[in-house]
Formats: sequence, C-alpha cells, structure tokens
Amino acid sequence: MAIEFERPPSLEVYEVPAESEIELYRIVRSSDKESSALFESFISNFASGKPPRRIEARSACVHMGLSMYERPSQAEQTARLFPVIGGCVARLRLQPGNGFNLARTGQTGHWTVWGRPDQLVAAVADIYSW
Amino acid sequence: MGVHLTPTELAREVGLGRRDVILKCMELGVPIFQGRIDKTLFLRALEGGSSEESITAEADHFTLLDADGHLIDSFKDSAAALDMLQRILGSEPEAEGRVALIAYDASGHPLGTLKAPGPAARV
Repeated sequence: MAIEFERPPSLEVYEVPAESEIELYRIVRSSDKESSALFESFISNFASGKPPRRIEARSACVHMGLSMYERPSQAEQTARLFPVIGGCVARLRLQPGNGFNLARTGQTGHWTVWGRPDQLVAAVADIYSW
Repeated sequence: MGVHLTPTELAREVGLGRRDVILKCMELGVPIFQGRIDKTLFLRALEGGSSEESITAEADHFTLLDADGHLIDSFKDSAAALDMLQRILGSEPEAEGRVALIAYDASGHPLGTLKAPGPAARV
C-alpha cells in the first residue's frame, strides 16, 4: 500500500545544483585549517554522540546537520551574542558532487547542512576572526 | 579584529562605572565571555538602547542554540521560546551558559539574546 502524508514535508532538502556553487558561513573555533578544533567545528551533534534535544529529537536529520548562515554578518553577530560558539567565521564554497545537502531551518538565512567533515573543511575558502 | 575589554577597561573608555557596565550588559543582553566584553557590541547595544522588551517586539524568530552553534529549536513566539529555555535550564542546570536564546528580525539579523526569567545572571 502506498504511503500517503496529509501534511507537506517539514524539511525540503536540496543538493548543490550541477555547475553551480553555494556560499555559506559557519561559526568555527579556529582559523587554522589544519587544526583539530576546526575539524571538530564540522562534526554534528549526532556524529559526536551528543543526545538530541527538541528539534533534533523530532528530526534525526537535523541532529545530523550543521548550522550555517547565508550572510557573514548573521554568523558574526550570532557569535558576538553567544561567543562560546566560536570566535571565527568560515566561508564555505559548497560545490556539487561532494554529497552536500542543505535545508532551510529556523530564521531567514539559516540553513542546516549535511556533509562529511573532511569535505566540509576542504570547502572552506577562508576564515576570519572577529 | 574584535576588541574585547574587561568591564574596568570598558568603563574607562565609555565613561561609566564598572558596575554600571556590568548592569548594562545584563540589561542589554551583551555577553561577558571569559571576563571580557565585545566593545563594538556593547557600544552598538548602548546606542540602540535595546532592552529585552524592544528586542522581543522587533523580532520575527527566536532561536535556541547550543554551545557548538547547533540549532536546538526555533520559535515564532517569544513566550514559547522562553518557556523552552527555562525548561532546558531547569532539567539541565549545567547547560547554563551553554544554551542561548537569540532573537532575529525578519531578514535573519540577530537582535539580541533573551534570558530565562529567574535569578540574575552571575558575571
């Protein structure tokens, strides 16, 4: 029997379109691309074994993803307000063919992104401290 | 590069008393992290005079984040968001300082943080 849902999907997940690039910004803890602190900034709560809370409990997908922002000012101002997250902002260039997925979650300009940590680190174009 | 000052240093720069700087930080939602305050954020908050009330009135979205920057939940209603923050802190006291409720405007720009009703934050 076909599975039917009454409500529309709660999450629309996209791939990076072919022959394009998506630029997003993530708050990170190191400006050194070789550091373990930077690598750890690209590990989801699920991958690090942290128990899910709230939206993560409702959605295993979100538990497996990472928060990123469309504009650097969104990431920077968020980090200024909650500095324990990290003192640096990484600009990522997400290119197709790397298994990246993304979905709009939360406020305008906020995305949940899925990807393998080493490939996400490789996608970091530059990092600045504020 | 951001300028991060101690309350004493910032007080000297802005012409306020040290205690007033700390009180303003608490009132305006400016974080004091590892004993230092982001001068730009403080001055901007001071200019804007953003109290939690004005932040709430202007906000379009209220987002709970954990200390790794991961999304815990997102709300359109401040009361529901504050209630959830209080529940989290009530069941996980160790989460104090490791969970934040941030208000965003309609364009996704952060406006400030909201504190759960309860004892004043220690600095």
